[in-house]
Amino acid sequence: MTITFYMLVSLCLVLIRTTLIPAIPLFEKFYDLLIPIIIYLGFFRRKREGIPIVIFFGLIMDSLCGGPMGLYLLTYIWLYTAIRWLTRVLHAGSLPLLALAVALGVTFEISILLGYMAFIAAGASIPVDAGKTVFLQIVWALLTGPLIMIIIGWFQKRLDFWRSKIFAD
Amino acid sequence: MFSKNMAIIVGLMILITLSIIFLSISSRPAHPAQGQSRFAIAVVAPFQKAISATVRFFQDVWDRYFFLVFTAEENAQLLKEAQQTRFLRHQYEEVLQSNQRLRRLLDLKAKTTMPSIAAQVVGKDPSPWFQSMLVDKGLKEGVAVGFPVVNPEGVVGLVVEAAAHYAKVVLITDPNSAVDAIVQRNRARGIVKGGPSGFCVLHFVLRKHDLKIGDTVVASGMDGVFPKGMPIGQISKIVKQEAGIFQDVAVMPYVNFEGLEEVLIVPVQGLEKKP
Repeated sequence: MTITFYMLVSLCLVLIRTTLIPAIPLFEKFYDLLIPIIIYLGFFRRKREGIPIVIFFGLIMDSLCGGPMGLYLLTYIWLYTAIRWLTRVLHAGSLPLLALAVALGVTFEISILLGYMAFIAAGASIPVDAGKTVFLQIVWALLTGPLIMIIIGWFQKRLDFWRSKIFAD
Repeated sequence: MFSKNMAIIVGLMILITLSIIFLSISSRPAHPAQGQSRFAIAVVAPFQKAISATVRFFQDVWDRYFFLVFTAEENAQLLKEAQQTRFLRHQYEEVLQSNQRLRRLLDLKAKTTMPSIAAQVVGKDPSPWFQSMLVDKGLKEGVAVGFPVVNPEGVVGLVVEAAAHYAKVVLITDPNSAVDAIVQRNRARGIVKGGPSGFCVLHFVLRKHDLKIGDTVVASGMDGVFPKGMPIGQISKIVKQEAGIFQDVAVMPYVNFEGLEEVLIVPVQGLEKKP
């Protein structure tokens, strides 16, 4: 049930990112909306719930994106692993820490994408306006990332409440 | 022999190396469409189509009923343009007829053109670093990997993946795309590749060619994919470095990729694939 919930939420975010956001002028450089989900799953959910979502949506994003197959999959796996490791040393609960985590997640993804474009892609190079895109993505992530995680957390609590009520009955 | 920390570091190094090798292999061009990609496109694209259709509906309502104020002004402008177009059409007819006469004279056979497939854009690339889109026509409608995609304004991109009813198109503004092109005025040849912020770059144009800002760049047809003479864009910047045999040329595409809604997919003989 929890996996289905995250599947639906992630699918909604992918659809928003690929259909609605490109139509809004100020949002064309928006960040990857799945990053808050991956960070949330890494911090707050169990591995058996997180890993299938990370792999499934890594493949989905690779299929929808113009980049090479595996780029998003690897990025998400590394990000999820790093967050799981971080949960050993710190407890994520405060808003500033969540905002920082999303911003760092976006920076990590951008680093991998730019690294790919600079060193691996045949004949490709880093775009001249990359700095502007990076800046805008990080600002958007800081502003909206924690909000997405709070909304997911709220829905997760409702889901847990209804589930406990159904099984109690 | 090894400490635990050492083992972790070595393990990480191996995993990072494997990741780089994997990306190097998968970034090689011309690998066939994979099953999981088709599956993912088939899962996501119908939802994208529904959302895009809803957005278009509301945009139409807005354009038709709330934007009428601008329509009268636009109408006057269009009438003026129509008069000019009529004059140009007469001239065009004259040129066309003389062209036909000359073709007959040279015994040139007109190239057989196959009907193109009209498609609607249902979704854009989820990453701002790559430029691709999904369209609502796929293998079952006769679309295959390698087919060029155009619209009345010019070259749009190339089909790189096709599912049953949807296809993925990489735009000419993507860093991984390449179109063999010529400058219409002086036939200087080069390769148009994706550049920054929706611009393209015309590579490998020799310094000796005299290019001007505003020159039209068209597809050369030499790559056997894009129709010869199809407009790509116009030159917006030329930089001649102190050294080197080529010049750097920025090209602004004619196609407005942000507002792109419908496209034409042009079948290429030899690339057709049955679903």
